[in-house]
Amino acid sequence: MNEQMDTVSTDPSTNDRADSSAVRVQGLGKRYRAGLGAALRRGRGSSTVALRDCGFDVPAGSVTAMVGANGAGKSTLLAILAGLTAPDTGTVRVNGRSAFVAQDKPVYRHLTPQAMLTLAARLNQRWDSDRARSWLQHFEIPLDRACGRLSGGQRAQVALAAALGACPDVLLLDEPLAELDPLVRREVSTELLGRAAETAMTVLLSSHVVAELAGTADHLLVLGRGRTLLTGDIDDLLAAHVRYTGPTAHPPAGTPATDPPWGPGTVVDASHDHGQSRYVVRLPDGLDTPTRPGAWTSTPVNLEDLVHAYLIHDRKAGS
Amino acid sequence: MTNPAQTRPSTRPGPHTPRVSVWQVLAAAWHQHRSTLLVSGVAVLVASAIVVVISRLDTAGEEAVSPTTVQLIILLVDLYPLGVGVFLAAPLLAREYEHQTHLFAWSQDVSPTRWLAGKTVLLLTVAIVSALLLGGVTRELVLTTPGTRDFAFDVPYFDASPLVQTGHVVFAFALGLAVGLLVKRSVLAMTLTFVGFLAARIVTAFWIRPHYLSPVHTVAPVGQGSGYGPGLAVDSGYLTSSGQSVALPANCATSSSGDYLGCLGRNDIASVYLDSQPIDRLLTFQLTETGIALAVAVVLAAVTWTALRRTTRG
Repeated sequence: MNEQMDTVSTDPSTNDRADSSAVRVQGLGKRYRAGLGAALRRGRGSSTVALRDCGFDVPAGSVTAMVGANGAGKSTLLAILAGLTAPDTGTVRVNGRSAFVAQDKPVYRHLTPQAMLTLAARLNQRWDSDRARSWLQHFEIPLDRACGRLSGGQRAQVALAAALGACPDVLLLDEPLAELDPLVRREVSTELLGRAAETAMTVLLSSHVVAELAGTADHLLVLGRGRTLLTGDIDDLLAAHVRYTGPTAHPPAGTPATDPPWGPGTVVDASHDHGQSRYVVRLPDGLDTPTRPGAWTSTPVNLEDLVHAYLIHDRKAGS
Repeated sequence: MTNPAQTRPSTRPGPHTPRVSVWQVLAAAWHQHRSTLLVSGVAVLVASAIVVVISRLDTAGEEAVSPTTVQLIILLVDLYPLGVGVFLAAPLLAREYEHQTHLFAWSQDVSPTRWLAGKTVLLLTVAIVSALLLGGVTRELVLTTPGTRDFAFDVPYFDASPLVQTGHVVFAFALGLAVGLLVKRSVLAMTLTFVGFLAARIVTAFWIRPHYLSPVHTVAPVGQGSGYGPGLAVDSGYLTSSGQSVALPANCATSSSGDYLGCLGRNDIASVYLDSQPIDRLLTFQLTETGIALAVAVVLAAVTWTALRRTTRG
């Protein structure tokens, strides 16, 4: 399997992207230097690479889902986009104002949700009080109780309300649904999508739960070990990949995985068990209908299969 | 894909990204800290009123205040800058990092440095006004208490003057901020600020302060007084008839007063000397110490600002 698979993108040409991108990232690199204690233990110069040569575009008005394993660099990337962390290399361009809701949904615990919104109003040039308050009222968050006395899910709603009230052009959300219970998750994502569509807001959200993103996002960004593994319109990406299932004997052992003999395409991931082999294959550009190779069956991939295949490929490449 | 080696890092939030004004940041800082400021403001006013009442009682002669009480009050006032550094400045950044709330504050339309500038202006202004008030009423107490004027160079009295208090408050605030940014943990930042501020105060008071100016050197023959007066004694000792500085012989130290002068004479000790800073240099010394404290505070603030800008978009 090719361990240096290039970033897969279904985006249009660079010139087109530049005009329609809400976020543009090129050659981004970030390395965290070890603290004094860790440096003494592990030796001088020890550090962790969070992002390396990472590049992608987020189309304006899209809801882009960012997926990656733990430590893939998702939170670092969002922190850089929000201006909270400086990159070591590369360039970042965010068109317009951005609002960021961090992973732990931090809010000042001694302030009430109402006071949090007042604070956010004073720290933002543009503020829509009705939009922020209506979000809290919709989810029945008490406005006069200190945030420290609210549940984790309620605090997340306060953080989301403050971000929405700022009327951002680009909304950056780090695991926005993680704190919420399963009943509220769907409602929040539906409401969020509705408001994003109303205001032509671009949303970039990270998540571990790929299944939840299927009905939420229209654009995908997969990160692995700090690099962009896959990016593009979700429908286009799904159409450009296919799953082949067949007897383990096919193809013969030793066949180059990147060049399967039973049809055109590039193998993203292969698994073999119970006498069967399964391949997720990326089809060549312009080939929508999978070629059916002999004893093999081809089925469309779903979003979870697709993301899983790229992440597994990346893990194997890194080990 | 761009080659990272050829790319200068930059984060551009967009061509027309607005920034809130300083007034908006100040309003936000007030909104966030008004409870603390109101409570501490009332506490300072009450403390000042108490000191004023005590100094007036003393002036009227109705009930003289003991020097011990005056000294205790001055010591408490001396601790005010320490309180500012430990309880106000040290947790200011450290608590934000600890609770991750900096991710909320700094992702609004305000840069981290502007956000910090707003908070610093508000909190430091209140702290300085409080220091001037406390220092002013303490000075009044010192002036109205018989005998204490002569000790104006001594540690508790010198440090309690409004001028020195202001310098120490600014230094303590800058130290607390810098330590908070460095360690990013409230309790640790408060502890380190406490230790650091006390260490700086002790070193300054006992090792640096006496040498702001060259001391005045006075020599008096043995038995005709030591030359001590109001001011700061830097050094004193004994001189032989040839002018050589010597230590007091051990046998003289244990002599009775009658034998003492004879003992000194037998050891060729002809005179005593005193290096001191006279009381009329008090204002110069207070200005010098305040200047040093402010200069160190500026350096610490510059380090804090630079570090904050380097780790964020600025």
